[in-house]
Amino acid sequence: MIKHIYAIMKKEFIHLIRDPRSLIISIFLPVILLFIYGYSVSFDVRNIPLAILDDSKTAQSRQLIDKFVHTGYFTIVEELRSGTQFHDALDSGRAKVVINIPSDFAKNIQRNKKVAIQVLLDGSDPIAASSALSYINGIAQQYFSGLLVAKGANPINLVSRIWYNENLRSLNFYIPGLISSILMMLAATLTSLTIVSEKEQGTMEALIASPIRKNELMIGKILPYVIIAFWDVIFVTVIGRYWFLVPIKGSITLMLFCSCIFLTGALAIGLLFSTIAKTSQEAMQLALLTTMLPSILLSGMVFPIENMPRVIQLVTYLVPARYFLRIMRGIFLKGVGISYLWGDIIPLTIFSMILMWLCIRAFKKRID
Amino acid sequence: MTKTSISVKDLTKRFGDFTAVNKIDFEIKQGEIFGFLGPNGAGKTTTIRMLCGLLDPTSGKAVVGGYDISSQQEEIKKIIGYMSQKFSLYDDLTVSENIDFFAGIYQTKKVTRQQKKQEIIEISELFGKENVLTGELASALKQHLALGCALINDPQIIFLDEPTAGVDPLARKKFWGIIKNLAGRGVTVLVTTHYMDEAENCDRIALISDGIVIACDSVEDLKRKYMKGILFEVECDNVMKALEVLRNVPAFQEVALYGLYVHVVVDRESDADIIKKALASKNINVKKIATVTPSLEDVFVSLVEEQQGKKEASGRK
Repeated sequence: MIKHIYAIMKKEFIHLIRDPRSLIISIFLPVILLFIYGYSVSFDVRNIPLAILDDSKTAQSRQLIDKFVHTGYFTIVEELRSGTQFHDALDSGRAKVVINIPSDFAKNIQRNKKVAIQVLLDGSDPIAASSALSYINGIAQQYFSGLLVAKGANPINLVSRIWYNENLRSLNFYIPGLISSILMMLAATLTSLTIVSEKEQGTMEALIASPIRKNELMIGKILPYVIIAFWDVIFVTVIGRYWFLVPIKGSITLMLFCSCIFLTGALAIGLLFSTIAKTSQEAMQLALLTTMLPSILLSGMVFPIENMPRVIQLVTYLVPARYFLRIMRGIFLKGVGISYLWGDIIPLTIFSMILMWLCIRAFKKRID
Repeated sequence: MTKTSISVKDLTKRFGDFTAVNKIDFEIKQGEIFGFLGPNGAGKTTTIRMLCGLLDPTSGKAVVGGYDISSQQEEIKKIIGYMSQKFSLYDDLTVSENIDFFAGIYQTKKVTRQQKKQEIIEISELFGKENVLTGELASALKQHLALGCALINDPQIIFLDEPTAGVDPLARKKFWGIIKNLAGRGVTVLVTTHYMDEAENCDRIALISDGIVIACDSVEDLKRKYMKGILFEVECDNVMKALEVLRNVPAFQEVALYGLYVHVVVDRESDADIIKKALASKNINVKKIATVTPSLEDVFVSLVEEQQGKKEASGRK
């Protein structure tokens, strides 16, 4: 049994070595994808272009404006002279936010009267707009509570602390998710050609005519790719840690162990399509379609599963990336150990085992 | 040497409405070279695939090396060698790697593995080419290697599906030398071909057409038994015209083109005069006319036509 598996494995490795282009692609594609996604999905909004109309022109108003600039979230791109320029600033896209400090600003502060500041936001980019709005609220609140303290009042002091991702850095949240989505896609496509291409080349006939067992063939086919995909895990993790500076608080050994379980399942998906499909094109497309969208949209990588309609939530239980993503975030950000991750490790293991079993079942040692 | 190696009874394979193999029967003894002769699409490959456990038969029974082809396919695979019609070794592996791979999946004993490998390289005459990529070999050498790999498990029975297709005549002769050598060692060989001249190398042959075995015997017996009448070889001008003229004479059993000659099967020796007269009436100059021993091709043509005649007759009923 082991000797048969070894013979198949060795042959698969030779195929890989003789085709260095595919080998390089399969090793570096995930790294490239991680870079592309890593830079494009950043939802942290910094240097928002801000246009200001300061009708007050007082020490107080300048103090407020300084606060905006100092946070680093805003950059003043334009000082407006009148309210008629608001439209132009936003329409042209020069500014995403316009702030108007009214002429009675300083006077009202001194008289302890209600102070109003006008804020106009470019809502065509809702993510940037809502981040900007919450920054503005925060800055304004800080400014006014500072004023109150200066006057001897005692405002309510809300002491909030965020755990796990202290700076709410979105990359810390996305990179572990990205790693699991990329691995899912890559693994399924890696194996999607292994069986079907042998059928197309006619070499399958000799394999079928040999006494090799189905399970030996399937295990021998999948193992070399587990090893390659395992290297991919290491590469992307290193890049996530040292390039994107995502902290890894938990056990790396545990992460690699869980990766193996996950990869086996993902590779088995590709192998299954390779067994069922009639052409390599069909196998590749099936593997990509069934892994790419679900692992991005339904895994909780971008959109929280809790916000999805009930039916879709149920569907997410069938997406292996969902479990792996939770494991990855747990290990990366929370640093939790295996005792907190059982709930995801067990379904993931069951998934991989069922898929492997399906592959062996689906393969027929016959010519059709 | 009288042990039965393969026995086939009423074996049938249908693909939907199409009957590829239709109730065929034959027996092959150990150490025999048994040829399957027939045109493309006659059902040769389908039969071999069923016997090797690659296809499930629709009905009928066959026993290969003592194992049933419907229930013991995996047992059969251990004791046979199979060389498929389409080249099925890996082009991106070297000669040596291909041999190692098949040795690995057939799990030959490690002690004998190196010796076996040498043997295969010798048989396939690939000495010094062990590290050449298989895809870069000439097609004759590829076939040699495929045969070598099919022998990796010292099979009792070897199935060769069109092993010499696309190989030059000299290489074909060498190939048959290897096959005869194997049979001499007691290996049963079932080989398919559509080269009539090759079939003469077989101990016995089965003629297959449209999924039916129309005759099964040794080459000599086939020629003797199935060739009723006398065969004349006619050398003349304008062969195509002559063919047309002679086909219109109802007294002749059969008229066929054979290279540059026309072969005519007649009932009596004296019918030569009818041939001459028929051709003379159309101003075709006859250079030579003589009786010849029928070739396998003549037998085949004659049998297929007889078969089709029967079919049409039963169709009319």
